[in-house]
Amino acid sequence: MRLAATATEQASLPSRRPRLPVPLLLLAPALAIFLVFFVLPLGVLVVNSFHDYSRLTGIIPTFTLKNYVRILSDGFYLEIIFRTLRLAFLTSCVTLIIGYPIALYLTVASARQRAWIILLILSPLLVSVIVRTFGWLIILGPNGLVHSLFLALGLQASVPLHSEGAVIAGLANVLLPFLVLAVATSLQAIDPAVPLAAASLGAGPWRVFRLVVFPLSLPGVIAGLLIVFSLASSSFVTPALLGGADYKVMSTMIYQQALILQNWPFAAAFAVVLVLVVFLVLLVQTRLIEGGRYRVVFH
Amino acid sequence: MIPPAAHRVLAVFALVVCAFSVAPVLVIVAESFTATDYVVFPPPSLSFKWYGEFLKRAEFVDSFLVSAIVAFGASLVATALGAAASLALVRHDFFGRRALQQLFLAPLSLPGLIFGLALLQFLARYGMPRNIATITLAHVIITMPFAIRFITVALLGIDRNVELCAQSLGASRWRTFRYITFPLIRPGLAASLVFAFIISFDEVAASLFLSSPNATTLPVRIFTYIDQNYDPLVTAVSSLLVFAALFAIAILERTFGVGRLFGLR
Repeated sequence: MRLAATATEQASLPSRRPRLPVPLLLLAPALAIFLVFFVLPLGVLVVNSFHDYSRLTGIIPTFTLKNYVRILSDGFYLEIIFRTLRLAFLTSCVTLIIGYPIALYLTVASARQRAWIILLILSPLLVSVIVRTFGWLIILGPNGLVHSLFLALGLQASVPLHSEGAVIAGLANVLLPFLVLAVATSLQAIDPAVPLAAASLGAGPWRVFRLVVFPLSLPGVIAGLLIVFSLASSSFVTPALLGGADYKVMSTMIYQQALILQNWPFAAAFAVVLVLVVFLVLLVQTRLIEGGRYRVVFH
Repeated sequence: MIPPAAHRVLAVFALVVCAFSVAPVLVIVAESFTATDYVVFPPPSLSFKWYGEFLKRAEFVDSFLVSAIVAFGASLVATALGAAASLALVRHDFFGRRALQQLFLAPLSLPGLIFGLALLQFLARYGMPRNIATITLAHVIITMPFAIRFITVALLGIDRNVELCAQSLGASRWRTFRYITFPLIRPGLAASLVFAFIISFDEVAASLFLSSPNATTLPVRIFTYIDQNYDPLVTAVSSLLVFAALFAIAILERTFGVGRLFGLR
């Protein structure tokens, strides 16, 4: 369209210098990289997920639904999908319970306190997930902080590492900033006159919170929960390191199938199922609130 | 809107959660100075021996360099291409503009693990190698959404009339960009560079599939090491990542404020 418009302009004004379609030139390099190294690989992944595999010859390029049928009919794989969803759900709940009060406190804290809390809560985002997860190994692991604390208190030392609880603690720690950001932005947007009006009309603090502040912050709560849910359901490092060898979720299953068993078609099919799960969550999110997954991070 | 008693409870709670938030990082940094040969927290005595051990391990030093090269390359390319694309997306209206915006933001919603798997199968299918260049390309795509966001916000923040003024006084498009637009969006470009560098330096999931004996990034090296071993060496390596992040946070806090970067203040 743009090209056509420029062409007619040139035709009617022959004296004018020919104009290059500037947006096209500016976009070309980024677009080329995205088409070749983002869109095309995803296409290859989807195509491979319909291929067969043999341990002797590798990928067999025939069309088959075998991989999907296997995932959706085998109880072992269904349990992995269910475990992934349960992990994501529990992580979202824990993150909300510890994150909401922080977001609330940000609205009443002094400027100095706010700056510190924001720095302490957000800056872990800039440290690699692998480092933060490894920290949990040292807190929960053998001879770790919890172990030493238990010993000092004279308690029977129990090591809670390699359990769903450890994975949830690790994920809540990594994903907390996303929830706090989402809730804090929607709390900030509340006109302070509204809760004041409720209070002046005789509502107690708890009633003001329950009937006015909390409902007004719901968009942020839902956005935060869904971000945490979708990030938790696709998280890999934390369940792989804190869950132990027997704790398999979808992402660690994909990793094992692809890099250890080398069954790429099956890994691809599992990846497509995981994307569909995350996509469904995002769909619900965009239905409930306008915008994408990270919108709250930026605005 | 909150009574004083509840205020105090919330303050204590906030303190506890802040401690929870930074605990893993603090524990790692403290443990990296241990003098013991095994992991024990709190460390009974302190030394720098695991930092010395890191320097003796060629594979970790190699990976550190690989990560630095990849992060440097990816942040530079993503910022340059992101700036060009943002200029087109903000300053021009054309058919398919919204679709392109969605495409450039899409890597945010795609788990890194799946992008890595897709890229691995794509490279194998067309007989392309896995090396520093392919990891860098993957990181360009992963960091591009951030670059485009920061630069778009910077572009939207400048008064369009200043550019039009320059052009009406006879400046070419390039001169307008060089002397007007570029200096005005420099904070956005800097934020994009620093942020893309950090994201790339920390990335694990996609790099896990793209790393090979030729090129393994530091987070991937740490991941595979932890899988097999449990000793304080990794705490020293991880602390280096923490110090790098602290340095970046200091820069960001000075120039923009960490809160503003994420839309809070």
